[in-house]
Amino acid sequence: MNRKHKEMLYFTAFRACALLVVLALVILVGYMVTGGLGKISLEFLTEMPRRANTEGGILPAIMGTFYLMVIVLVVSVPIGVMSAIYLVEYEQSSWMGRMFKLAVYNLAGVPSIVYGLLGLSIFVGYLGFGFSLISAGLTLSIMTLPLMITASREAISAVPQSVRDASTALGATKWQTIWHHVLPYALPGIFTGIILSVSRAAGETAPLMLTGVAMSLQTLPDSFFDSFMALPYHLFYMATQSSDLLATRPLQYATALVLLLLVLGMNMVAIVMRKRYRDKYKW
Amino acid sequence: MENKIKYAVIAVVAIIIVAAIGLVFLNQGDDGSEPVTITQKGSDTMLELCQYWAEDFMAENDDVTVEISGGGSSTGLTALIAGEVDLAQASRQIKSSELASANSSGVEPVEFKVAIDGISIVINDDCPVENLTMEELRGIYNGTITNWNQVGGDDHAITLYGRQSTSGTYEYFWEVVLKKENYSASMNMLSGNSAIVAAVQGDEYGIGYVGIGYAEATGIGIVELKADENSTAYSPLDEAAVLAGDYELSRYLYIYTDGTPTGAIADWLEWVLTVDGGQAVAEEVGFYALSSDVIAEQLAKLG
Amino acid sequence: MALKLPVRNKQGRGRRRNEHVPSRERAIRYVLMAATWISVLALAAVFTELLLGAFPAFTSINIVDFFTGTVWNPSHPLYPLYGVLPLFVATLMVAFAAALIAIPIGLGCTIYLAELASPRVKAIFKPAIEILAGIPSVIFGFFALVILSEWIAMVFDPVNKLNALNGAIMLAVMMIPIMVTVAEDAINAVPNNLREASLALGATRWETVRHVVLPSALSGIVAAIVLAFGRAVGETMTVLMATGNSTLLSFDFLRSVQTMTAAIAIDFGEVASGSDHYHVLFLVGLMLFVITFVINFLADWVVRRFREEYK
Repeated sequence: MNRKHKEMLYFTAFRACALLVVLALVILVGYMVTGGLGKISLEFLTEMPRRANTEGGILPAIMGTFYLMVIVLVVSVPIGVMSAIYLVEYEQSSWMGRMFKLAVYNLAGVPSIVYGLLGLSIFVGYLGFGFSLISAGLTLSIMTLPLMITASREAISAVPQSVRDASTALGATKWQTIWHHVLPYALPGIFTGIILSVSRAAGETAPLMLTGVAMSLQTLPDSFFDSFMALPYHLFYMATQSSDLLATRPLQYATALVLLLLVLGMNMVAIVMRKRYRDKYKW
Repeated sequence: MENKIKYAVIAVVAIIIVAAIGLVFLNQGDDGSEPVTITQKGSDTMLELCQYWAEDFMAENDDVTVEISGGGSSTGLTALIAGEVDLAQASRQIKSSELASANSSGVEPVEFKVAIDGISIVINDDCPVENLTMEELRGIYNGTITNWNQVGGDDHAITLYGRQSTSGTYEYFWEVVLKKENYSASMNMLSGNSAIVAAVQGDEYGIGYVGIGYAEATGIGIVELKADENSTAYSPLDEAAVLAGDYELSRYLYIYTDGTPTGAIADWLEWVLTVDGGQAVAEEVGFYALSSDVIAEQLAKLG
Repeated sequence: MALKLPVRNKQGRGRRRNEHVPSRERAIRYVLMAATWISVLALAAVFTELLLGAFPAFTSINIVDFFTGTVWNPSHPLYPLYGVLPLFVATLMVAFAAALIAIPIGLGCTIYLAELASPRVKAIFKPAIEILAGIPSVIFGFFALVILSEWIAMVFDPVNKLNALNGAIMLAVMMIPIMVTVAEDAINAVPNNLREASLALGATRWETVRHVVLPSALSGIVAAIVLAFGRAVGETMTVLMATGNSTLLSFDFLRSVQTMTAAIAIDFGEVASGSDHYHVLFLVGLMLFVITFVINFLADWVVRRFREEYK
């Protein structure tokens, strides 16, 4: 076999690998869509579950996931953006900066179930929030914090130094420079990070299992201290715990599809947004 | 550019306000009466049964919310003793050790029989075995019988499935079938009845035990049980045999309260014990209703 | 500070106005710093809470038996056994097998995207891989449970339909996007003049990739693999739904196994708070945390070495 043939062989194999990965995505999404599409209806989306989730809709699960996303948005986003600003603009290459970065990096690698243990002992137990929306929401917020910080950090550090220098040279203070000249350019990138973080929170299941998700509720939560349903847990429960697993399979597919559409929709918005922003500002 | 930040902040604030308003108003009860929430935890076997009960009960009682969760009988009873829940559903009777710890923490468990279950031995649809004696079942689960051909099946190793050890069914089976001998070390312990059903559906040579409410799923068969070689074999689907105790693994299912229940909790239990209410639902889910004598006994405890 | 403040105020109006700005600047700085501390505190809280939760287990159970015991039956009414080996073995088995599947495919995919693909192909493939990374793990778990297990059953005739292999393949699919993203950065960081030099000397593109690009990006690729492996060890929902959760110690890929993450997720629904079992689960969590921490540290170390190579 000569060198050219060898090259062709290898390159074909690599191309096949890449195709395989895309194929995996297509298959996965394809099965969820074909399995779930027929079952999704207005009633399914807007009704309470009945007969131990085997009939009716998934409204409490949708709303539960929505509330979790809101909590993450409110808690994780400001903290994440502020941390990112601090890390990029204020803390440079000292041992503290190194410590902060290490903390964020390691926080990103903590298994989600361990965050569940954190939520259980701190929010449910120590702070006395009980098994509730707020406990789960705060747990998810901490979990998504590293993602939020990393994305915002990248967006802020991508703004060229010359922008800062120009602003400082005209007499602006550091904060004025950041607020008026750095953040506006970093905003699309930060938004992308926000969307990705929130969508991650929407799809996460394991921490919820330790912090108050319920199998079936006939009411929406009245307050942040109520227990709640959530789309991913609902899917897990119906797919593994309900009494006739095969009989409710269409419902499971439909729930999976709703979750998938929610998360993928958000992801796609983020990807498109980042692309447009990259095309717009080429430093 | 600055406007962008402003818009972003406004957008975020708007979302938060909408969510908060939604949370406050979307589900505000229309009547003036104070809503009551009853929490109940325990047996996985009874989880769906209790969920059905809760839904029907809540449909009749707008001002009461009943929240059911699973985890196993032991878990439920422990939570009841710790004062974390109002009631516990259990597929076995409370143990003396649990009673002792309840007494020491000032909790007074009161027992209510609420339905009848026949623990069902489930196998894959393709398995030819139709019935087993109690001795054979014991042998299978303590590990002395390891091949299906020892009990009239194909020549293939048996895969054993059983429940996780917090399960009331695990303990009931351990006492009644294994006579407190150890389960075979090769038993796969799975969480929840559904996990066992799913495993047996996918394993031609598997055997497992579940509550009758879970046994009628697609793709699995139910083994009939007989006391010994010469007796008649009975199925847990045979209501008369289960109620008469001819079926070897029939048992009561229980709900425990702390002290004699009052108010909404008493209403809830009373409804569960109603023939047209809770008992009819139990039959619908696949369990069996209590006899009128037993119901009267339980209602007497409500005072 | 409180004593000095009035003195400063006496220094005239014009200066006071100027000083007002820096104090606001300083306040902003402190607020931002406080927000940053939250991450450090969160990491410390995770570790402390695991230690505190696990601590009672050190006295109530035999810790040697915990690490060497082969039976995990934590809530047996009379003889609870807390051997973590079945869970530990399952975690390693599933994660290693997943890595074994993911590494060649992920690497091939990375090389294709970084070295071969045209911009137009890239514009489709890269978002696809990002989207794959964004799919919730519960959906991967559901797919493994419903579809993949059937495919495996058709090919291998497994003992248990939900088995370690099922989890490993699904995890591999989840690992690939993480691997590709990190490894592609490493390959892109290899300076172009290295490639040009190699091509100019008459090497084919494959030879250039094989002998010049890959060795240069090696540490970055290794870091990508280690990082993805760390995620596989910590993944919960996919293995929980895919591997069948039998607590028996088994080295057979066609049998059900239960990983450490799955054990925590399942058992916490059943555990009485404050019991031995409860604390042992925290101990398992602590073990998991330490393992992933070490893995991440390793990946970070490799990455930093790699960064120093091309500065």
